[in-house]
Amino acid sequence: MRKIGLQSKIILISLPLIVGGILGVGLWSFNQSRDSLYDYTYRHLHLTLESYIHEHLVFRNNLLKRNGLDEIPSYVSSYQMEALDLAPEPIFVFSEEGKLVFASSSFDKSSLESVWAKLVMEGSKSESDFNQGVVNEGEYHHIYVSQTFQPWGWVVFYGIPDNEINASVKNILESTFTIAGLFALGAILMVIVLSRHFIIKPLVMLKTAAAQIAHQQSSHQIPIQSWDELGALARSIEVMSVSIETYREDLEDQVLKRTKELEEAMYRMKETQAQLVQSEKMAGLGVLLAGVAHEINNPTSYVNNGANNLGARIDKLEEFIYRLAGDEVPPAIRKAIHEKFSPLRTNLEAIQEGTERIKTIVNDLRTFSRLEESEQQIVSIVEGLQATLTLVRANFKHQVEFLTDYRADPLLRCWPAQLNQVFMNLGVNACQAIKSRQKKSMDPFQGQLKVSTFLQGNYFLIRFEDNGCGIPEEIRQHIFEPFYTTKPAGEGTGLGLSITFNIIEQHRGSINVESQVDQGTIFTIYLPI
Amino acid sequence: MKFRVTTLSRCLRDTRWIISAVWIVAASLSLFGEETVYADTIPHIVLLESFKSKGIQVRTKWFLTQLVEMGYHQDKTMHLTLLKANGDPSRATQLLQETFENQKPDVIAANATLAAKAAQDFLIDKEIPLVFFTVSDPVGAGLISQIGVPSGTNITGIVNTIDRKIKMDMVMRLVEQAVPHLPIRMGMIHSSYPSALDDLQLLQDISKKRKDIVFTSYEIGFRKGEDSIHDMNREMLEVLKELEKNVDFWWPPQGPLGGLETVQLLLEHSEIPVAYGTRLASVKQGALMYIDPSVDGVGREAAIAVDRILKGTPAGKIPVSYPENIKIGVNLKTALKLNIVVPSDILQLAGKNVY
Repeated sequence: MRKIGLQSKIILISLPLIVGGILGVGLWSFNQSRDSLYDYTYRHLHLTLESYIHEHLVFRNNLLKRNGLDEIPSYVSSYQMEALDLAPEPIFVFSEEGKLVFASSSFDKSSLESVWAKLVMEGSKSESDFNQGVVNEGEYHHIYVSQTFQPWGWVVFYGIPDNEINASVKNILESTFTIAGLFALGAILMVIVLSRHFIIKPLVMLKTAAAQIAHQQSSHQIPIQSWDELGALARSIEVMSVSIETYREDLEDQVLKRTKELEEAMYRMKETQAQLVQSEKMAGLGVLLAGVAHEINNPTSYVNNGANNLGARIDKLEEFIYRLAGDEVPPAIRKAIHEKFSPLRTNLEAIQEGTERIKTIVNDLRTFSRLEESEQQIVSIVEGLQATLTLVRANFKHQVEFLTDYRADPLLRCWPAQLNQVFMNLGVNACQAIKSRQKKSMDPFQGQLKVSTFLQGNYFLIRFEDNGCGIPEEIRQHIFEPFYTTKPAGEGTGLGLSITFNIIEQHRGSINVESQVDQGTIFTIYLPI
Repeated sequence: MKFRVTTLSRCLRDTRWIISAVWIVAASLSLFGEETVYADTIPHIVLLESFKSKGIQVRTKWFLTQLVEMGYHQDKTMHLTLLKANGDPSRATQLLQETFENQKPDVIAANATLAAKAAQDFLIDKEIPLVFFTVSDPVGAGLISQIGVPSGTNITGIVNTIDRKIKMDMVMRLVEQAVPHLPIRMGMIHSSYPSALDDLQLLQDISKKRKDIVFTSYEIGFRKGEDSIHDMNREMLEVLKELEKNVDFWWPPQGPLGGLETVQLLLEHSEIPVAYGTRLASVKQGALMYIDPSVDGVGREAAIAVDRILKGTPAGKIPVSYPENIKIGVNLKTALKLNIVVPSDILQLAGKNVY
């Protein structure tokens, strides 16, 4: 049963109903038709007999009476014979006493009297002149009606053989079953056609639509136009298809969005990881440098102190020599003595300058390695920025135009001196980049450093934007590494941006650089509020 | 209810009579009134009567009655001009000429043979249709060549007799009961008047085709004058006994020697019964049977033919026919005397004409 199709199920269910129903109607119709046939036959017989009696018996009897001939036997018998000659067949006329007066020629008169006379006598007991019934005796199998015609004392029988009726009944039965069969066949065909048209076909459409939806194809228009349940289901599936497609599109958008966010997160993570690596590297370097600085600082102090003492000794030795020479010493001798001491002083100055440089480097290394940490303060960042830029502007005012746009000036907990050093480094680097480009450029152009502050989310942003020579990509990857410098020897230590990076990191911020060669560079500092 | 219907039908019948009478008076007055110029929009019917006779006047009455019943009303839906020839063919022609000059008729109806012939002669070069009635032998009169078919000319009409074969069939159904042998011998004593000769000729032609009847005839010369019929009757009585020997029934002829006086003589002076009467009154006298067109039927059927012509049917396409309405009379006393049983259909058709 499970494997039988829906249409077959409909046919299996409707078949017994249709066949049973039509057979029932057919049997009812047959019974009605048979009864009607008998009624009709009796009515027909009655009408025929009545008509015959009226038109031929009554008419002639009246004619005889009207003309005074009803007592003249020759006229009466002649008119009776006239009437009997015109009688329909089969007709039997008996006297009221049961004697045969007339019969259709095809019947045996003796047997007629024996069979029909009984009916005459039975009919005579009836109050009505009309009688009807069935004779089924001997050779007589008739449906008959009878009427008594009193003026002539006649009982007139008229009937038809029942086999004529039976043949008609048989015809009705055959016709009824044939028609019922045809109707049943037609009804089944109609059930097949209608179920296919109104149920199966729409269901196949719905199935196709569902399959399309399952395969992620749109099915916005299912060609079912009916307003029944299937039509409503089709409309619902259409709505569902639209909804699913909308959800799918939304899902794809969300996936794209999430993917993009993931990619961005991944990028940030890699960036953070790079920064972390950089930080770790810098931290390691810091520790290393702190140790190195400490180790260098001590001997350098010895050298510096020794050089200072040596310088003092040289001065005292020269004065001693001068004193030994006396006040009368010729200038030439004095000059010669002085000339002897000059290289000593020059070398000493060189030693002192070298040691100063060593001290500067060591100091920077200390700063880099946080050796100069002090207490945090809550201050205005912009205030320090302005002061620092004032110092920078003093050195580059002829080459660079300084523009400021302070849209935010929050009070932050920080190490102000360290941040000032950051500002100094970035400001000086920017001015030097502008100068560098100005030197290389054939066309003079106005150098410009724009410094702006603003808030973005939970961050305070400080931006240094110059139109200097820019930083090539390959260099930009190393600028925050310590001792990495593109400046000529002696002009930079290569620690400025490393220190800057560390200071910003110490403030739990970050620094970002964007640059295009010969276009300019943008450094953006992010400080958490 | 039956009473009401009967009363209503009587009223209608009376009304018909009144209307007919009014039309007859109106038509008669129009003959003697000032000349009237008729409009062309309604049909002009001319009715020409042969002579003053009760039989002709009765048929005229039924002709006019039928016209009225069909919706023809004088000066409203028709103009009827009634002309009376008074037995004079030249007067008939003159009246027709005057009428024709006054207003061309659309159809002429001629009542009886004289009027029909006069109208036929007058219309010989004209395309005016002619309807005749009360003419017993239109073929013999030269009006048409055959009964029962369209004439093909501008003439049609209703023959004032029934087919002799029918007449003979019906008479035979009675007389054959009284005679044990065949053929039955019919005796006809007739004058030399044309209608009588034509009647005999037609009957003999039919009897020759059947073996159950023969006609034995005796001709008496036709005489004119007031006492001519008596003379002819006397001559008939002289030969009567001799003729009886070869005759089973008498069959009086049309025309002279077919009238009531002759039949009465036959009944009184002959032992042979009279089988047929040319008039209904003959049956009342003792003749066994009468059968002829009903006078009202002939007039009505002629009016119907006029109506068909006025509605567009050419006269030449309307068959010249025997009348559909016949009148039958039966003398039961004679029948009983002869042990004849009158069949029920004949007795029914005879209706009140049973004596």
